[in-house]
Amino acid sequence: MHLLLITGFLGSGKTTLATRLAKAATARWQRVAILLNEIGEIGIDNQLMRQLDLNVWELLGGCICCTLSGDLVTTLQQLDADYHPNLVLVEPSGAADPSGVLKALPYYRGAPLESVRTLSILDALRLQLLYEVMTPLITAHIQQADLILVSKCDLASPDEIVFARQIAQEINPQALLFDSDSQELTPELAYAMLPWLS
Amino acid sequence: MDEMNPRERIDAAITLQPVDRAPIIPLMDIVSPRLQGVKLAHVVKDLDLARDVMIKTFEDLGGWDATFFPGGLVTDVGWGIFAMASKLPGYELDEDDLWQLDEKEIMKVEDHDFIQKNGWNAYLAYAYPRVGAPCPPDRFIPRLIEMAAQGVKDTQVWEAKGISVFAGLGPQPPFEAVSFTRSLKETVGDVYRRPEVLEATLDTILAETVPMSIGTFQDLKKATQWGNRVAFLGATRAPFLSPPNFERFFWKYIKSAVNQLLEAGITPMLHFDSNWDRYLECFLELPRAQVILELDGTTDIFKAKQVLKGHMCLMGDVPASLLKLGAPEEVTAYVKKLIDVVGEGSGFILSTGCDCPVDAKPENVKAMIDTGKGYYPHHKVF
Repeated sequence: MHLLLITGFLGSGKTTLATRLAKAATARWQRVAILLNEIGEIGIDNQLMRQLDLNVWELLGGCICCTLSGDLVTTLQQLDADYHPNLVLVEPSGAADPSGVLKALPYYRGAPLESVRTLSILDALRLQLLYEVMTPLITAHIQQADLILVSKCDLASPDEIVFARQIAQEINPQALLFDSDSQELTPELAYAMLPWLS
Repeated sequence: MDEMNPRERIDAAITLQPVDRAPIIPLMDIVSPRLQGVKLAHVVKDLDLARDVMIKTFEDLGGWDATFFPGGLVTDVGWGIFAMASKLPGYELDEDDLWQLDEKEIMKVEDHDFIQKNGWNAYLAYAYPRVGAPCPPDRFIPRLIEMAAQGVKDTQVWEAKGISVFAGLGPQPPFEAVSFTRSLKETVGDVYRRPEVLEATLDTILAETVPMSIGTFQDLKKATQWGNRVAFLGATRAPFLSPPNFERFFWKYIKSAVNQLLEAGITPMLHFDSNWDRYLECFLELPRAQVILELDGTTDIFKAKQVLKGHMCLMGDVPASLLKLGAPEEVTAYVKKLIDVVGEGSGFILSTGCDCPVDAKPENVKAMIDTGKGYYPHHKVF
């Protein structure tokens, strides 16, 4: 089972990416589970995902994310026992610091996790605003990422894209950096983010 | 040192005086129904039941120094009390699901003007129908009055058993209040695009809510034996802010609220969830030995002790994941580490990191409490 945590601020396109990655993976005959912690933000998308035959579970976390880490572990164990997914995509709330979400993974007792990676989405259109207002949160998102996706590049100006790439590279030069547009996720990009698919 | 009674122990910890052991005050409102075999939906609908399962749990586990709150926090008004949407067990969710905040833009940009003209409480009543909580809008104000009366009644029930109630809800920090009802996304936009407008709204909220909260605490004190020991001020989103915005839109309001509460004789407890590591030194600006900082396991409480030792009481922070997934020996080891390090020189209250999770293992909760009662290596310090 591979685990991919998708982080990013509210409205950055986490659910859209999760849906597209899930579709790319199911097209390669993989069993995919999506865990969402933002039922308010994704209410419509959640229904859409189910219409697309994607398997979605909701992580209910009370007021914030303090219980989310433990809930993730029990949900993963349940999925491992009942559904046997090859890929689990986890989308924590975009209104909370995601730094603790994977903290409880050492307690996981299911089938071994073949990979655990964090992908952070930077919305090129809004990053300058978000970074100026909330430097600590955006920095935390970037620092924790193994993969960084600069999104909405077809809508953003060249300067906005350059800014997003610069910030990502300055804060976390080790992370793999990708660009995407708002319309589609190419198979090449999906395989770059999920290399074991190719 | 002679054995203290719970109220003496709590007072000493807050004021950084010697204690016989660290006081223990876990937050048990959502785990208690599960431990007593009661579904969460039932305590949302029945506030007497919410209190009674907490009392039963307190007694079953051998008790501790005070109940954190007098009763359940989530009702059929949900977080509509803050004009924030939420999903509730027994309504939108299954009967035993944990409730969930529902991040939506309830407050529109034009509501800044409404709040500045009419006040925060007028806004909460005005916006409540948009929230979609189960309690119908025409019952909102009567329900709030019932809930206030319930708080008095619950406090009296605990006190009749000789147990004091630690916290009552204090004023919500204005930035947090707006970010809940306006959504964090839109509030961030306000910080960037209309900072003066946002600041005027925050000024309005502070000016209205702090005196109101002080009045509520004073009324409760008159109606009960002990009242609430501290006022709960909750925050979770402000540490995301960049330093200039943190100061302008959050911290100056905290300092003002803290000073006003202290002048009224009320101890502020800052229940600050998420990661405050980068802002720990700010807390040195608050009056010494009069304020509690409660952390949820995300902030490094050991670093907090280094920074704030001898300045303020820390409270926390047995992590939810440890209580849910760990073994009793691991809980014991963590509690001992807390007492060893954070408890050194007093100024520490042992608690859960935020809420005890709904599915915490009973043996882990017991290990936390029993270790707290039996372990205190610092007597020689005094």
